Amino acid sequence: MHKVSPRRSAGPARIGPAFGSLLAAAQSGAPWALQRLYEAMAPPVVGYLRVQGAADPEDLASEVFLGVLTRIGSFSGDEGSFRSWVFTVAHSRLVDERRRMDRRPRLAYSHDVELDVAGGDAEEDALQLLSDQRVRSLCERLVPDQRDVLLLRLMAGLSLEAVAEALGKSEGAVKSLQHRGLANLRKILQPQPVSP
Amino acid sequence: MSDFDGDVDEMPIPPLDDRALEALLSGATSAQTGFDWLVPFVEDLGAVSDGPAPVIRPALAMLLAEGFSTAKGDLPATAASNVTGPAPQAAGLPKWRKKKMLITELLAGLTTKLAGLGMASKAALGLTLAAASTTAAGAVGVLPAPVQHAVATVVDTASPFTFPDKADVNADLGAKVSTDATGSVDGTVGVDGSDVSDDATTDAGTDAGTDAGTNNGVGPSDSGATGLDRANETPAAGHVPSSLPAATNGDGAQGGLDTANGTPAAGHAPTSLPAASGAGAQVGLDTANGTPAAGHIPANVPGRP
Repeated sequence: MHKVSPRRSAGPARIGPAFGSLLAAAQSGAPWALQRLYEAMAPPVVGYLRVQGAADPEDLASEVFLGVLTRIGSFSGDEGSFRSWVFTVAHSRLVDERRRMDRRPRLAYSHDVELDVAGGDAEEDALQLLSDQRVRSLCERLVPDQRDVLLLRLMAGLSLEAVAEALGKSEGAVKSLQHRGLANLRKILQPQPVSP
Repeated sequence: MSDFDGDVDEMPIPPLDDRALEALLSGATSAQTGFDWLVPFVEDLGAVSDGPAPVIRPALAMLLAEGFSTAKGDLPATAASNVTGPAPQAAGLPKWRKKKMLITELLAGLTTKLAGLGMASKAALGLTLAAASTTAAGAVGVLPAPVQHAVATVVDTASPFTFPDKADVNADLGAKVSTDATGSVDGTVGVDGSDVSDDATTDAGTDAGTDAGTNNGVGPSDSGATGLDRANETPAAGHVPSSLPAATNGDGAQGGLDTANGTPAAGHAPTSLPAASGAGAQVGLDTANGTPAAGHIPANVPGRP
């Protein structure tokens, strides 16, 4: 199994000014460029699918990138557009999986799902596990539409317009969902003291 | 799972536009934008996004290891915007295109079915189509007379339907005229009236033909009693006069003139009749000789057989 080494960053990974040349190389079929794009985009996609409760996030992410990279020749745009495209495909695949799961007997959800982290630092793995559990716990308390918007905004770094396109909603509806989702998150993260 | 969707804010939440999001994600000015409380959550999201990305699918592993060639046909030609599925066509096909496609599909289907038939089935189908076409043409009467006659004969024999048969009508008329004209029946060339008289005696004209021969063609011979009797057998029986005016001079036709003069058309009735010469048929010949066909009229009328 081909492994891509984990990479730490404060927000979504950015390729920066090199994106144009990297995209051109990937469109010509260069393996190194395809790997570089995958390394930059796959971790947040897997994380997004995991937090969204995908049954097999890594497998679903592989399906997403198989579709994206084999059609990269017809893509045109900047890095933001490329990220928006990748997450739009990822969300579409997630919705497809949910529909498939709805037609099957549903398994009981387990809160004790552990990250499939092979090797690495034990302390980092523990912190990541805690982060994952906190994120899941918070997201479970949000309305699904609010969760979709906040994760695509805060996790993928998509613009309001890109989120609206990915979810098939108007930009105004996305703004409203974002506002209500943030309000709920703040109430959870900053509980108001009970007045005597 | 309990969805939390209440209105809880006492402190307003600043709008998280794209610029504020960039600042929040960079972690530089979150305190200034009013989203400092959100930073721990964003950091947790970043940590989750830093997880491994194992390649599960062998096809993807091969693609990342070997890349692809840009030679024609190596990559699917699907547009990037269509990666989630084909976009629906904005407008349907034009009507002529739909009709052409429908006809093409129908012909293709028929060809496929024909190809699957055996030789005997194909021959039977061909005969059936030919018979159906001929029958349809016969039904509207557009076939040549001999063919129309053949089709009508077959249909009349094999089905409860009756088709028009022009051949029957034409043949019947020609035969009768030619027989009389050639004199093959009675030895007299030309139409002599005898055959006509025979024809008349075979149908509803019996009385009239007989009367014409026996009374020399001079009006009613039986004082009209037969006509009154028949009239009384019809639904109009109550309106039939009980008697006819008697012939005053022994000449029945004169009685008819008197009756005609008693009607509203009295002014148009002839005042007299030609004198009877003792032979009613001779009177007819004299009348005929007064017409443009005078040269073709026989000199005398033979007696009844």
